[in-house]
Amino acid sequence: MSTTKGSAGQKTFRQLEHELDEILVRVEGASYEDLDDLLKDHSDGMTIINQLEDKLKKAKNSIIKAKK
Amino acid sequence: MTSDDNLDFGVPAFDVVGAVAVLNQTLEYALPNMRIVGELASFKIAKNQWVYADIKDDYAKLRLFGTIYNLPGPLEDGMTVEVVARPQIHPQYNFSLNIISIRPVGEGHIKKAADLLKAKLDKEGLFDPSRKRLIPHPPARIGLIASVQSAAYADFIKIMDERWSGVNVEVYDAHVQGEKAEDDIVRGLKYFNERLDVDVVVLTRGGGSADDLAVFSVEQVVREVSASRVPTCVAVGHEVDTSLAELAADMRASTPSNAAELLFPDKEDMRERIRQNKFILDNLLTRRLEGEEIRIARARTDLAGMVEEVLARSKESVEQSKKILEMAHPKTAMKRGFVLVQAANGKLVSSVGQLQVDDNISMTLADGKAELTVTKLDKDLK
Repeated sequence: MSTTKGSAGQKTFRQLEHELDEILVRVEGASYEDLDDLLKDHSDGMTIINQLEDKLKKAKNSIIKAKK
Repeated sequence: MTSDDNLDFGVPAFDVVGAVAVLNQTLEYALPNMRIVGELASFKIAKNQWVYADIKDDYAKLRLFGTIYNLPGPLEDGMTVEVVARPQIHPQYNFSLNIISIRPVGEGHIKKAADLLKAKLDKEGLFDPSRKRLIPHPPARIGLIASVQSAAYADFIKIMDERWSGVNVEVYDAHVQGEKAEDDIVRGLKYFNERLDVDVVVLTRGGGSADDLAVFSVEQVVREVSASRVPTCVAVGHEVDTSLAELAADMRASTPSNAAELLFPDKEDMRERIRQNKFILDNLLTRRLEGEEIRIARARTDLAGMVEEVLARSKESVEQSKKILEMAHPKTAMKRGFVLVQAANGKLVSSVGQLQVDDNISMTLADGKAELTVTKLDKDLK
């Protein structure tokens, strides 16, 4: 996985998407032995989704501002 | 009485050469120069240098002698000319008038002489339009050849001052008609050409008879105008016949006032033109800016639209991922009646093969947990 960071030191949208894809592949495979592993992946996935949604919201606001 | 007797009575006696010398001295004292108007006859040029001709009227004829440098231009038999000459008796060739200057007189003859000269100079290319040079507009410094007492001079200066300002004018006061005119004009042209610090030489005079204006078609004047290193403007106040000097000049004006009009723009016209150009430029610029604003606004909308599409697709993808993740959470399945089975060591149990009879296991449901003991195993459940 790329280690490139965004300008503010945070992960880029693309990097977060990549990490989420990896989690989804594991979750859909349902090959967990430990419930905690499943719950951790779920929690990490939701965190990434929140970050992605936040980035999308900010981008949307930028577009609205730019259109004015 | 005999001839000897006459000598005795005080009549002077000479040998021939002595008589010629005395007669020349007498002529020089009594009549050094004379002006004669008559018809030119037997005109010829020998060795491209010596001029021989007769000047005559109905009753008499006199011999003329001179050089081509005395000529105003081509002449021909039948022309009426005014000759200024020095009478002299040559020891071998008898009496003749040595030409000092000669010029055609009478409108028809002046025109005829000008036509002959025009044809000659035209053939040499002096009037070729390709020789005309551009004159700075407006010129900052001008050399003006004119008679300062003339109305032409006053008109030129007046119109120039009305139209423009800050022009440096240097005047060469010259006769512009009569005997001294040719020399004055040629000297004036040479003077400004030697200085080379003027943008244009203006040669001007007001209107007049063909005789008055004849100097502007004299060969030497025309050649000097043509050869001028400084661009020239010749303005002679007449409209019918154009003088040869005008044809040879870089710019021709019909009158002294017209010369000033051609050389100098009108300040007020210039201001008005600048105002109009500013108005046109302002309009052009405003329209251009408006066009650019519209173009940029469209680009802004287009760009925003494209980015919004990408964002929408990304949002959809994220939402899809969220649904998958939510579906994968154990509680989602438990709410539908599924249970989570864990061995005593906490490992998830997904196969009967992981269990044995009497194993203690736990079963997690949507709202709680139960502890169980395995009593029977059936591996063939379909």
